[in-house]
Formats: sequence, structure tokens, C-alpha cells
Amino acid sequence: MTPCDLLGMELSALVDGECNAEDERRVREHLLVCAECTERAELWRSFGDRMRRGDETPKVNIKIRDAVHAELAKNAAPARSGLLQFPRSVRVGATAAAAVILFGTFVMFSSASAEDDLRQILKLESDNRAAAYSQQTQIDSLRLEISALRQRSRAARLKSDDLTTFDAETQSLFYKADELERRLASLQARMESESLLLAPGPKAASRPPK
Amino acid sequence: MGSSTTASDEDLVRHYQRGESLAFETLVERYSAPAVRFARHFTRESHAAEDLAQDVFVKLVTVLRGAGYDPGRGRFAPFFFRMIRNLAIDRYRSSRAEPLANVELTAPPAGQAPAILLQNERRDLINAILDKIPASERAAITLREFDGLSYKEIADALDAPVDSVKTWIFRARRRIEEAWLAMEVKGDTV
Repeated sequence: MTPCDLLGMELSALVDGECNAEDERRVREHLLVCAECTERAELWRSFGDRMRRGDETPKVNIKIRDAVHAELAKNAAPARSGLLQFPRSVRVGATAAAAVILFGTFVMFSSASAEDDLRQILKLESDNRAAAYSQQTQIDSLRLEISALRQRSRAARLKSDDLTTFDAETQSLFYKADELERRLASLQARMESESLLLAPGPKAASRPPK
Repeated sequence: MGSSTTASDEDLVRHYQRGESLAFETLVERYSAPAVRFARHFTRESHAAEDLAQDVFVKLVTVLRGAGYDPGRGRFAPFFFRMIRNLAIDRYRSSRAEPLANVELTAPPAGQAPAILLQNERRDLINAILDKIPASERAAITLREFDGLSYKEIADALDAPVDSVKTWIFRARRRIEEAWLAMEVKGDTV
């Protein structure tokens, strides 16, 4: 077994910043004399970016969002009416406790704006989401239109006796499809920039900075 | 908290537990893509993965209302991914279907790589290769590279020892590297 084989797993851990001090020292010493492993580490580092670029999982899943909306609405109602099922003494106690909490909350809110800030952030994120949904709908519609235009132009091309020339109608369809693709690219760029606003961090979309 | 910062997952959970449903919606927005991506490791099919992710979010509503997760005791991400894994296992047990996540898929021989690319011409080569590696390795490397989880958090999410996670990620990288270099030799890299 070569040193490269022996240190492979530790090299992978080093790429992730998960190496302990002793292993890190050994790997770094090896990297000083092994161009192949240095190159391998760079290649492994590039895999994450390539994976994220090629991922096609939609960022907005309307089906899940709607299901969650329904569940939130369903869960909210019983929680409020459920209090009436408790004995009167419990309700009186709960009311007194709530009054104390409300007073405390009032004091807290009057002296600090942290909660307001968070609400503003949540509201901003919600507005951005609504804009993203709207843009996604436009993009879907443009995609359908482009697809239909491409099909029509292909059909017109097949009808033509000379496959290397296009009649005016076909050419016009191609121009229109190109224009729509430009609009689509512009919309996607806007969505990308807005999703960056929403994204918690540059590397992991699900991991906000602490 | 300044308005330029983004609320952490744990803050969102706390606010939802205090009654802010908007905080939960933000969590859904943040995690719907990672949830579907992770669920696909178990279902191997996009629609089934969406259904699984949706059911997990619906379940999460109840779990967080019942204080089933305490944001002071650990990060939300590993807890959430573990929920997906557990529900996938429950589904398997009730359906008695083949546990796709446990199937040891083999890495593609070098000669097959161009075929993979042709079948997935709209996707990046690395993700096409990912589809062909063993599920445990795929889950570990995606939780690391897409979701930024630490080895310990991945181990929590997958209910596995940290050393196994380290090995899976290393093996995944080697398999991707082999297929990648095979494509480079043929001059077909994307």
C-alpha cells in the first residue's frame, strides 16, 4: 500500500475540515511531496460545486407548501377551542399566567426591537417567496410557449422541400422562440438573485450563518 | 438582531413554537428542496420522494407543537433529516417493499460512464454518477456537500457511527473521481 492509499480517508476528512490535529499534520506533510494527492484534494473540493450546479431539485415545492398550509390551519383551530375542556380553576390559573406573560412580553417588546426585526425578516422572506412563485409561473408558461414554437417550427421545416432553407414564417417562429428564451434567462437570473437573498449561506442553502 | 441577518433554523423553530406560523413556512421554504433530495435516497423516485417529504413536514407541525424537538439541545438539520429517514423506514416496514436505501448499488464501470451521460444529458455528470453509487455513500456525501452537515450531524441523521460516515464520504469521492477521470480520458467531460 502506498502512502497515498493509507492517507486517502484522512485527505477526504481534511477537505471537509474534519481531520484531527495529528492526522492533519501527516496529510499536510504528505501533500508537500505528492503532487497527485494535492491535485486529488482540489478535484474533491470541486465536486461539491459541481453537484450543486447540476442539481435540478426545484427550490420551491408548491405541493409541499400547500399541504403544510392545510396542516397549519387544521392544527390552529383545535388548539384554541381545547382550552374550554379544562376545569375552571385551571382556566383561571392559565389566564393569570397569561396576564403575567403578556405583561412581560409588553415590557420586553417596549425595550427591545429584536422580535420586530425578526418579524420584518420573516415578512420580507414571505414577500420574496410570493415573488418567486409568480416568476416560476411565468417561467413555466414561457417554457410551454417555447416548446410549442419549437414544435411548430420543426413541423414547418419538415414540410419544406429544401431542408437547408426556411420560409419567412419558420424564421419568424425561431426569432420569437429566441426572444422568449432571452426573457426566460432574464427571469431565471432575477430568481437566482432573489433566491440568494433568501439563502442562508453561500455553501449550504439549508444552513444559515450563526 | 439586525434586519440584514437571516434567522437560524433553531430561531425559526422557537418562534413557531411561540405561535408564529410564518416561521414554520420559512422552514418549509428553506428545507423543501433538501428534504426531497434526501428522501430520494430512500425512494429512488421523485414523486415518491415529494410525498415522503410532504408527510414529514406535516408530521413536523405536530412534533414541534408537542415540543418533540428542543432547539437548545442541537441543530435542527440533523433532527429533520433523521425524521425523513425514520419515516422512510416505517413506510418500508409497513409496505414490506424492498428497502432501496439498503440496496448495495455498484459503481458504474468506467466504460458505462458515457451511457450515463447520454441518459442524463440535462444533468451534470457528477449527479448522474451519484445516482449509481451505494445509497449510504450517496446520502452521506450529499448531506455534506449540499446541506453542509458535519460528520457528527450526518451520523445523527443516518443513525450511524461517525467513522462509517467518514468512510462513506471517502468512498463516494473515490467512485466519483474514478468515473470522472474515465470521462476525461475519453475527452467527454462536461
